[in-house]
Amino acid sequence: MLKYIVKRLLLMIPTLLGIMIITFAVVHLAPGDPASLKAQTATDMLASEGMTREIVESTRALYGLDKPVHVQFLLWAKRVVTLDFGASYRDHRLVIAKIGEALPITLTLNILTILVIYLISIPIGAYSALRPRGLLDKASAIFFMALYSLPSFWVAMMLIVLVASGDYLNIFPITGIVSPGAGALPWYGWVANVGWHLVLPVICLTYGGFAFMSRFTRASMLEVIRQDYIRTARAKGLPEWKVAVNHALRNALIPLLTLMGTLLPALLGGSVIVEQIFSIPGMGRLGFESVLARDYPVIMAIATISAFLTLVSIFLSDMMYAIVDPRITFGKR
Amino acid sequence: MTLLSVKDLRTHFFTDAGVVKAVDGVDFALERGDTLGLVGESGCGKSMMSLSLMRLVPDPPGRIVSGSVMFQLTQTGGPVDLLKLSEKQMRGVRGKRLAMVFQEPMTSLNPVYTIGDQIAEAVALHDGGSRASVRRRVIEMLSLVGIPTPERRMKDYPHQLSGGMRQRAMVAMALSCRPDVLIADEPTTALDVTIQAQILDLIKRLQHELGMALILVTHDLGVVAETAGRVIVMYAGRFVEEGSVEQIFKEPMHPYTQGLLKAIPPLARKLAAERFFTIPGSVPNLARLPAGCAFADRCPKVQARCRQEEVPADPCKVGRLVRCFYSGS
Amino acid sequence: MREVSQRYSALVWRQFRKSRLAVVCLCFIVLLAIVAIFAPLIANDRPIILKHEGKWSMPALSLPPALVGVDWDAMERDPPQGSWMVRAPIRYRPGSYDLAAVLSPPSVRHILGTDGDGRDVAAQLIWGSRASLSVGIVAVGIAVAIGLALGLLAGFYGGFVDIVVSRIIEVMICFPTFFLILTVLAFVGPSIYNIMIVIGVTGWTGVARLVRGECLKLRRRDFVVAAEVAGARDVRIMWRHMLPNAMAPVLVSATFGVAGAILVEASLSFLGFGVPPSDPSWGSMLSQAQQFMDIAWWLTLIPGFAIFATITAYNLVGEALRDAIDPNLRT
Repeated sequence: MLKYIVKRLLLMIPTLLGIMIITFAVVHLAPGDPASLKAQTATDMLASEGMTREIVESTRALYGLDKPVHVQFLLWAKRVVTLDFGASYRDHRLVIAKIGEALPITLTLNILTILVIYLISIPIGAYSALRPRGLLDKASAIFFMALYSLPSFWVAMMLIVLVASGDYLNIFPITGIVSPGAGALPWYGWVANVGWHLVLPVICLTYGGFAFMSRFTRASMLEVIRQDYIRTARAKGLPEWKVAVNHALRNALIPLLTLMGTLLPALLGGSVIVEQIFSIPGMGRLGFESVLARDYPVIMAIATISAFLTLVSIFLSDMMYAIVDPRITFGKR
Repeated sequence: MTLLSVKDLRTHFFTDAGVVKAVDGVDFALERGDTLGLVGESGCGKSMMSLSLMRLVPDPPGRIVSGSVMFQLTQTGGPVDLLKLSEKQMRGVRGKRLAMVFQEPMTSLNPVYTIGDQIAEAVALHDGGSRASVRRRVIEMLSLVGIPTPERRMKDYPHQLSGGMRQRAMVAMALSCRPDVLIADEPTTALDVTIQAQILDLIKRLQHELGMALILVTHDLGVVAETAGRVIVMYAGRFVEEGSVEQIFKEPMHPYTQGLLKAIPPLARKLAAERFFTIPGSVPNLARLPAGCAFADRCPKVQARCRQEEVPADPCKVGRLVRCFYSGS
Repeated sequence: MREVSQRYSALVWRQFRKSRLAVVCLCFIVLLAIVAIFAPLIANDRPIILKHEGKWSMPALSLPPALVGVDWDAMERDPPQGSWMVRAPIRYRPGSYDLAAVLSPPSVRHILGTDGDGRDVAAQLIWGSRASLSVGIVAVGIAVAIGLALGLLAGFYGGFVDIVVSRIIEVMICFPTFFLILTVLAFVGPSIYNIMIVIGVTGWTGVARLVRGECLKLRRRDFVVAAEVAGARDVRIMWRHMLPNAMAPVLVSATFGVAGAILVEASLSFLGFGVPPSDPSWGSMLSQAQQFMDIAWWLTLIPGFAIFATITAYNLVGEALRDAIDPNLRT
């Protein structure tokens, strides 16, 4: 077991390296080096001559732009490891501080999304496998497929028009994650307020995942039901529900856990649009605004951190797989 | 007292390619303590027969279409037709009164539970009891089947055991509730030859110790010769001959049985001098069985009558049944 | 029992045809392609065929300089001597502004209404399909090409090559794709070609893993070993023996990929990172519809529905194709 963990960790290192190289390369392939671009922005802001030169030079020194590329990379890598991503071009705040504010929000959103997707898809998928081609199977397949094909921004717009604006119902807020003044509420009131704000964004993020997850569960379950040990379980006289849950589902869920790791990057991407529409101050919106403003330090930081988090979650889900599947935990004697 | 009496059991599979008559009219009777060998080549329906007894036939597409399986369910009452029981009642029978051991122990055991847990599940289900008493029974069963250090072994997962051990664990699980009948479906086919002998010995020993009836399903005539008391030979879903072991082996009456015995490679005679005997042709498509005798196309004694009429079971001697017009040595 | 042996593709097609829904979707996709290709002939204020002053021309495709600025509606109502024209079914182009009918709901004049600048929604929808479909298909083409190449290499050579390729795949997976696309487009500028390339270059990982998996399985199969023993070159083995076996799932993946690429293009256009706003695109139509959400429902509903229908069609075809390939589901 320990061997397995160590092996996985070692394999992560080249990937991590690759991530950092690519992030570095993408930004530095951009036309114009960060220093002159920064000077450009400064000039646009009508700074004085002397200040422009100062900015250029300090940026140059900061990023070591006068040194050869690989040295630049190593310098940058060293700073990344200490979580020093520099300061944002837009408001000069520390990048790490801005990310520190945005990340928990996006993480909360994504964790909620994953939970909802799993909670709804797994029972439906499992039941569909037990009654293949039955009513639930066919109906859910078509319904989820239709949901999956709905563009998230369109759904967001429709939701806003229908339930969050003045015309029809107006039961959900459309901006932010918390109402102003919510700080005055007791903690459970605050939680409820946040929850109320998150309903629409979470809906937009989850509905697309049902199709994939339920089909995957169904396929995994179908595969498991054909196995001999299910027949053995029945031969013991176990009631059908116990066979389905304790024996079939328990085995069918194993590959599902590994999916969790790969769901995360998809969610991080999807939340850009949703966060933008609902004005949620998460990583997605931060990233989008940074791209618009060519705020390189933030862009690089977001890319690196997101990639790193995804890597970690892939690793975690592999670990979970090892825990639930005794064939990996306990090797052959 | 007749424990199990099967009459005219028919299990058909309804597929897009036609109706496959996997079991097409089988009868036999089983007394307490009997050992019945069910012999036939792959695809003859013997596994489906045993699944039918347990009512474990996969329901679409298969179904038991007719027949009766009379089982002595209670000590005092009369025999009950298992096929007419509700599913809930049948679940009370499975594992408790009728138990089954399957061919492939690796795939027949759930890989994510320890063998101790899997045996305990059966015990807790039928006999209940405290966790301690269930645990005691598990250890008792494991040592009964000859697994050393059962207290430790019960925490092992199936993949951690060798093939022979796994099959022993399967046997332990099947016998954990002291069933009246054990159905062993090719229990040794997937094992090495030396382990085969061990497992067969184990099953026989336990059968005597627990006073069970045993139905041994196999394609291996050697296994049958060693273990069985009575033998039923199956072909294409029907039984073709029934008799005691001595009768079947010394005086086979049906041409198919005769062919099977002839096909056993001889050791006494010089091998180089003779070619192996094989029964010409192959098993007919169970979805398109010919009228009359299913063996007709391959039979050395075939006559016109064989292809036209259904061949009835002929009790030609005491305790013997042959489904052939022209049986005889 | 069917004795006739069939070509694999014929077999798959036969299975596919059994789902009527899938066939309908396939027809829809073909129809959409036709609409996209012939858009200039379907929605155009210029006539398709014109005979004017004795000369024939097709103004819809190329406008003779002498006919610039002609009011075609007027000419149709009151044709000059000896001229004859065949006009397009929808008499508007995305660039034609009908200032008299700004924000009008669907009517006889404008079948699907007009937007805030007076542009005909139907015309924009039809021309917009070109952006969506071309991006979808080209991007997926690129992704499949890259994915196939890397997957074949990894699956065939195994060992160190496989480890390297797997790391590359893992790195690509880790990046938040959409964010990466936004970033690159911010640098290189959003043009339709850049969009195609970026979506393709970020979307190959699925195909690569699929192909890699298939090839790893096939590597030890007898027919591959036989080809090796016979002295076939590596590339030939990969091309002739491994590739055909992997093609079917790749085709399924590609179909879903087109749906995904269309969605990404629409999302990009919605955020303003897509094709230039002057070029029609379903995503930018929705983006512009935001400000009129309360008063012009058709601006939100129609382009959104177009995206939805197209993506659904591709997804359903992909599903049906996947089921058609599955040997367990053969009937």
